[in-house]
Amino acid sequence: MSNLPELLNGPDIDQQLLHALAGQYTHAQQLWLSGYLYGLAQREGLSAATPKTTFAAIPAATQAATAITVLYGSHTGNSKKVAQRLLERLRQSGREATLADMNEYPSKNLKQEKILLLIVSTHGEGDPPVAAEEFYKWLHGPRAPQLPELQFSVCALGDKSYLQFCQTGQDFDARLEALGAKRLSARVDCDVDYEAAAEEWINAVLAQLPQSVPAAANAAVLSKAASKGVATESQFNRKNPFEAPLLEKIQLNGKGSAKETWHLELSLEGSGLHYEPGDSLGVYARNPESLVKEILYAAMLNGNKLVAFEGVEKPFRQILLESVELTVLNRELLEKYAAWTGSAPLKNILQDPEALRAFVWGRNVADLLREYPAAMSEATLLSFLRKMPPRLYSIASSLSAHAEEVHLTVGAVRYQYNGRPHQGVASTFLADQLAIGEGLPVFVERNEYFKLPADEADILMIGPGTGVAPFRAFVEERAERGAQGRNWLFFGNPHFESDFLYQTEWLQHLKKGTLDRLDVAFSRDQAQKIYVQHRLLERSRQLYERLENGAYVYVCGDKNHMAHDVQQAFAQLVARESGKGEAYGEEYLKNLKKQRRYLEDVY
Amino acid sequence: MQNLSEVEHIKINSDYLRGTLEQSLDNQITGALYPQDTQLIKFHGAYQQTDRDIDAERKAQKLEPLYSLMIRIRVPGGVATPAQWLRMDELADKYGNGTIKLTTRQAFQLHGVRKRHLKATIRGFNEVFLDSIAGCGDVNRNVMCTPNPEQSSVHEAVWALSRQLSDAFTPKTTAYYDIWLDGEAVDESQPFSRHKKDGKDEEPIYGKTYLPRKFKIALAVPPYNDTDIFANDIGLIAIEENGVLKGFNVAAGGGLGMTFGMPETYPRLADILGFVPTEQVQNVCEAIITTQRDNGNRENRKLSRLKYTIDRMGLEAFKAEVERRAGIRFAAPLPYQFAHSSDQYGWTPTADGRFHFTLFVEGGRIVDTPELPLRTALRAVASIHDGDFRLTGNQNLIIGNIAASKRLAIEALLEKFGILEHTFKLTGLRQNSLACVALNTCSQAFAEAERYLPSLIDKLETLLRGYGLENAAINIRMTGCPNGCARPYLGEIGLVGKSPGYYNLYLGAAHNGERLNQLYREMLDEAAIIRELAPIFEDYARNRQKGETFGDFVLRKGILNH
Repeated sequence: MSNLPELLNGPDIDQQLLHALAGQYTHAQQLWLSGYLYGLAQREGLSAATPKTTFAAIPAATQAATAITVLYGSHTGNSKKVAQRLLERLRQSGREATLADMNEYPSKNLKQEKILLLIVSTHGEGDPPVAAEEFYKWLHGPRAPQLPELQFSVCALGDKSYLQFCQTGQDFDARLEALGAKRLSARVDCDVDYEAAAEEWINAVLAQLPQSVPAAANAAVLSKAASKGVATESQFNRKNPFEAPLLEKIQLNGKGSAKETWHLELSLEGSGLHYEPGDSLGVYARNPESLVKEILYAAMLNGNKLVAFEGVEKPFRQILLESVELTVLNRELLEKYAAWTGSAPLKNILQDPEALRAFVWGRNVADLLREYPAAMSEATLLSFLRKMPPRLYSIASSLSAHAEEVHLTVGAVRYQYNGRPHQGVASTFLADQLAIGEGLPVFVERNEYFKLPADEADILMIGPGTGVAPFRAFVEERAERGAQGRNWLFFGNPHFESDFLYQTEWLQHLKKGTLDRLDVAFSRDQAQKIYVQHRLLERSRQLYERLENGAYVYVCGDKNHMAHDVQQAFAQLVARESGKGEAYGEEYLKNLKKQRRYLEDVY
Repeated sequence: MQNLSEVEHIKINSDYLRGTLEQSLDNQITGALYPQDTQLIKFHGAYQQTDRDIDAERKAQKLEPLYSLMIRIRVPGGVATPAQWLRMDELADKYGNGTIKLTTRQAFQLHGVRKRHLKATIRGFNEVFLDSIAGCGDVNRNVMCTPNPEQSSVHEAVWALSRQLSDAFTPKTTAYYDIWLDGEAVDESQPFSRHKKDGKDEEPIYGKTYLPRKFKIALAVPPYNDTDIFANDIGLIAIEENGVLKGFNVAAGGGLGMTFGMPETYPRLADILGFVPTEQVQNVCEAIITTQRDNGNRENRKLSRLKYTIDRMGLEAFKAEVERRAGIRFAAPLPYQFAHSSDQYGWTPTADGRFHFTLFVEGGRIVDTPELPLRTALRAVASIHDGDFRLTGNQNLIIGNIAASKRLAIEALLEKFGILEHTFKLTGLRQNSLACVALNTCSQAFAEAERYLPSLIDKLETLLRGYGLENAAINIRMTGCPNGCARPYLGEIGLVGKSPGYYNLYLGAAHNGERLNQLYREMLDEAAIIRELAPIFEDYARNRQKGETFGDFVLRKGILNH
């Protein structure tokens, strides 16, 4: 730190202490601190009207949020009209303010707000307008932050002929106060002819506002920017997973769908875990209780018996539930089991790769024990079994958009084999068992190459089904960064109405321009099946142009069919649009891969 | 100009109702149309709707609302052929929600049509000479006409006039033809335009901006007012003399919609302007339409119906303007008498040796239920029938012009599927019930109507049976909002939805549609509706005069004053 400017009056600043303090921090942390102090100074400036300090230079690139937000929840448009009127009056009085619709307002912004002027109507039996439902629910729920810095005022619209007149406005008013916010002026409840009352409210608000409201503190913005640079190694990893509490769990498929896709939001708060778009999350699931019961029954073993596993004695049932793989069979297990039982048919199967593949398909450990029964002890059975491996899921969120959270898109795997229901261990555990608030052992698995390119580069994303997960993270990240490169997504699934994963988010991104194009293939909505590769070929010219322009291609999802078909489609479209034939198309694709401009995350 | 409502700007910029409809249809990432096209699509007969039952659920699932289109198919005068019936039945399964709705204005409606199937649906009914142009929108919509063929020899002439008016006031834009039919009209008799004049579209009557608001015409042959002509912008009352059609009493300015909390909006019945001979009717209607075109409010759509134009201009000034434009003088109205506004159920023979069967269709919904396989029954009838199907203004259906040779076979089908029993066991209240669609698809609805009214009537019937009133013909009409689609303000009992489960109760309308009801109680739930009506039913059972209708009774007893 250099010499302090002379112009600063006030208590002496202990330079030594400052140096000592600053020395402990990295460069990025120092930057963050400077922003933090600037923010503090700004706030104090607001209340005590001390002269503005200038010592902490803020990088011009940081975007300053406006300090007054006019937030409305409207059904018929009246609340919106009041909000627009207020905005006009604010501007006339020389104040800057931001107008926001609750329907689109990112609730994470609330914590940053300084002055919130809220207009909302009430419907039916005291309900918020549909457009405000989500925000209302969130604010009244456990995820609402404390808001000690916030000043607010509420204008409630309603109809006196209803019992719960202006209930929603009253709810917001009370809730904001309960969260520690300070009321700038009293709530006004307006009846059907709301204009006069609303104008009174606006006058009251204006009278209470400070003369000019400076831009909001930049501390938060800086802290976000800095956090990337100082990512230190977390203590949590594959061996020592973090118990991430489940915050939210949503079935993404609409009524009537044959698919079952879950969106999970997990908290990483306090873990120090950091990830980038393209990374995966490792998840340790528990085996289904029913399967453990089947195994105990099939092998006639005692679940309560204490057995040593990795040096610790635990009840056998608990080990089966948490620590070993039961839902699939593998060669090693079969070899050990065949050797121990001496089963000739099993040995024969092991001789023939085709027969082995057929045998393991759809079978689990319970099937094996039932079909080739043998008496054994708990410890013997454990000696055959593989340690529970983690399941990896492509992360569906960007940390910049969801601080200290990680989101997953999980397709529940369920099928019938031999007349009994079978299921994928992790996906159905996440779908059926993991409850909100419960912890899930997780760790971050880096994906070295499946990473966003420079902000200027165009990207082409092909992600049918749950393959769309990393692209939600990509688009969120690029939106947060303000990346200039164009983002083009290809998505597919069986049905438009029920299987369009994250549809409303994509529509928002398209509206904002953070998604440049979206092409969709819904295979079962017409007589002939249409998949993403068909859409790629339909757009061959524009795709070739983007490739020639340096675009990066990302493919995520099904490895067995889709990944291959998409590669073919790219080779084909290059052949067609370049006019140089099939061999050139193949060569072009190979080169893209070599340059790491054609990247796959397939499974 | 700067105060014109948003819809007016959309019309002006639409190039005669084209807008960006083709791009809207091509857009595969949403089931919705572009905002401006949601206005224009109405002129083509469709409304964009969502399944409101699952709006919130889908929002949580990060899915857009489940968008679909309701498409209204015009049936001028309400007469459809068996082939047309069978096609509607087929399209209901193929692209709709498996039901056909018969509207209160004698049209077919299909619900739940996805955007990607809209074109195929329209082409499907176009092949049987049905269209949806001007089904909705700021134009003259389906022209209604008494469908009861039994009445008199003048019926045929009145019905022919209804078709003539329908064709005359169908928009002349080629947009419908271009967008939906790709140049494949069935033949030249179809009422929409195929050819531009000198390479340009034109609308000689409507102009580029069409009308300020929807416009409705209905014709009636006294003593039946089943088309509720006083609820229309133009009501035409046929006057006959010795079995010959002489002309019409022309009424104008009816309209039932209002908006809660806006006292300057109100339901209004049409005023009779005077009598004109038949050959002048089209000319007079055109004069009324152009008077409204040039004088209607284009700034506030809540105040733009003809009724407000007339009240603003003054009835005499309006009438003078119509006479000036039409170049005629109205004669004094000739006497007529309306008996009622409902349908007569069961068999009716006519002098030409044909038979007609009128059946009750609850809520106008043609659907198979375990109790009543109505759609299946009518499909079976349509496949052997060589007469027609007549949609009534009360959401009911007449299997019309049944040849004597077919009567037994059709009766056997009606018997087999339980239609006969169903028709004849109904109480007078249910026979005289109307309900709009409301939830879950209508975006205007505050409360249930079609899905709820049957169960409310179940409960009211228990009361009525207790008082011996099961056969009393009492009109009961329910809507999910104050806009008036099921003409609730002409119900002897009118129930208008205010919020889920709560209704305003209106009483005292005339049974023949000549007098509006009045607001009696606000915000009643089911228990309160029953509690309010029970003593009035009891009073009516004990103290009504001979032949006195429920609406008249309520008025005479001064019930509305307490």
